[in-house]
Amino acid sequence: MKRTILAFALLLLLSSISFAEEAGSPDEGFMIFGDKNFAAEKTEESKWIFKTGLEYIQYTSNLPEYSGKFESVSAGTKADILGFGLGIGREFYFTNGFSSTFLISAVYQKSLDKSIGKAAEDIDYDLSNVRDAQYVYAYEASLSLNYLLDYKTVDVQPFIDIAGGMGYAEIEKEYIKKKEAPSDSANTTEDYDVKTKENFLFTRLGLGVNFIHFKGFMSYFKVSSMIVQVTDKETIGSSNLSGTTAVVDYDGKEKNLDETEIITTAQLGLGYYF
Amino acid sequence: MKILFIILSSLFIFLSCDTEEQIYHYNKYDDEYAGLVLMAAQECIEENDIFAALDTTNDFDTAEFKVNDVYKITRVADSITNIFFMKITAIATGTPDTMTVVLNGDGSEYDKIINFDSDLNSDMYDNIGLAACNITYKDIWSASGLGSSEQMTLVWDKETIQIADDAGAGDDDDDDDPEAYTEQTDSFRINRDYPLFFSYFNATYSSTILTDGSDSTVNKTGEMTISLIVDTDDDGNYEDEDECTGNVNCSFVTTGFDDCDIAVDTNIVTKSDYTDLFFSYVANTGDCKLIPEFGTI
Repeated sequence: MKRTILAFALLLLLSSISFAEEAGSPDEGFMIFGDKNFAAEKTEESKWIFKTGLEYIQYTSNLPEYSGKFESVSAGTKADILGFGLGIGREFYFTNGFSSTFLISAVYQKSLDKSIGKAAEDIDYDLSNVRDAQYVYAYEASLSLNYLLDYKTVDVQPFIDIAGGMGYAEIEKEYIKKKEAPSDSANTTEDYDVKTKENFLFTRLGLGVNFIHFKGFMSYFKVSSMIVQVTDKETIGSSNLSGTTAVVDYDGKEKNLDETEIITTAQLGLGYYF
Repeated sequence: MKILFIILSSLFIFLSCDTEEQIYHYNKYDDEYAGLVLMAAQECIEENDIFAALDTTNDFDTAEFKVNDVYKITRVADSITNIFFMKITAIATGTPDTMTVVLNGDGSEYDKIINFDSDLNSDMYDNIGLAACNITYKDIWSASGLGSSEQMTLVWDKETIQIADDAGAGDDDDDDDPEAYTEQTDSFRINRDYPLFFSYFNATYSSTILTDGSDSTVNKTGEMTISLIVDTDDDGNYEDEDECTGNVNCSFVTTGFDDCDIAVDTNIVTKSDYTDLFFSYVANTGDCKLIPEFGTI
């Protein structure tokens, strides 16, 4: 199902690019990019830009460690989170293809993964359930240095950018394991239900490339390395292991932290110069 | 339009972030398998409404049925309809609760006094739970309507091979089918409104019979339906007494018949011979014959 949705999304993306390219009438220079493309009209001047697209972050989980029969939690586990980003800014043209873009962006990322552990293929009994929910939002201001390569069909604009910002992350994991036989004692079940809430600051260094199409439509791809500093963290939840009735409580708050992590992000999307 | 395309694209990508997978921890060769089958059956019984509803029949004092309730049984087989009436003539609470039911077919050989108790009802309840929820018996039993709080259907597929393939008079065929067999399917409508053994009288029956030396099978069907025609409330008042006028008098004779106890096989879920019954009579006096599923009576 998810693959179908993703395939449909990619199809729509491609369609949108094609649609944009086909938007001009023949007398506007349709498909004659080298002769009458956006770069030719507005390259050597400053302009506004709007960007939106898919955002990926590999966020480091700070959930307490746990070792259950069917699920474990290790320190520093990376959580792959996808989301949606929006940015608006202005590109300032310098000279000879060099320009700089100042961009204000917001990112909302959320992933939900569920794993249902059936007892066996022919037994309709959910022996275990795992639910991983991750949710991150962040704001940033970035400044990039761009260089435009004016090709015939599409302009290519590699860039390097630096950014700073702040964000909030919630990482949650739920796991339960039920009894495996009616004769099992009640303490053979397992349970882990913990959520962390973190505020963080970050700086980011990115490398990317813009592909500028006809009439100001563009697409972009960027990878970045972020230094994330978690400033405060709240942990809520508890766990219980098989063979014991003891419940481990993780509730607690930590402030003025100085924990830093280096994480990877990637962006892929579309934009419009105006 | 362009912006719409972009927003839709992004939205679909965003929605694609959620994933769900299903894994299997064990297979039938693992030691844990047998215990997990029982856990699944237990969960099925605990989570489906019908079992809580049927459990109310185990307490005769608080169950839906009452003393003086009268039920009409309509039996159709071989295109002939027979009518019987059953009246709950006594209920006594105790350990276990007991009940007496009089089955009156207006002079037929199936007129009986039937003795039943809550332990037997509980055994039938357990049988129904196992048959409906334990996958060990899925080749014999199937169920539907488990989410209902009124009625479920339990189907019992029985087969008896009288003469195996390549034996007997018809041993010259080339197929792998038995030379003589009887297949029978009993489909019981099990309702919380009456004692569980009444389900025998609210069922459809079908049978396919191949006799030795025959090239074709014989099919038989029979159906019994039950309806409450005199509903006694907690104050002992009757309702729907119109059904008791004319040739049928609900104050019918309730004595002088064969006295029969009900017997319940607690291992019935494992059985699939076509002669096996949901319950049977044990005669205290006379010849306790159960109304047959098929044939003219």
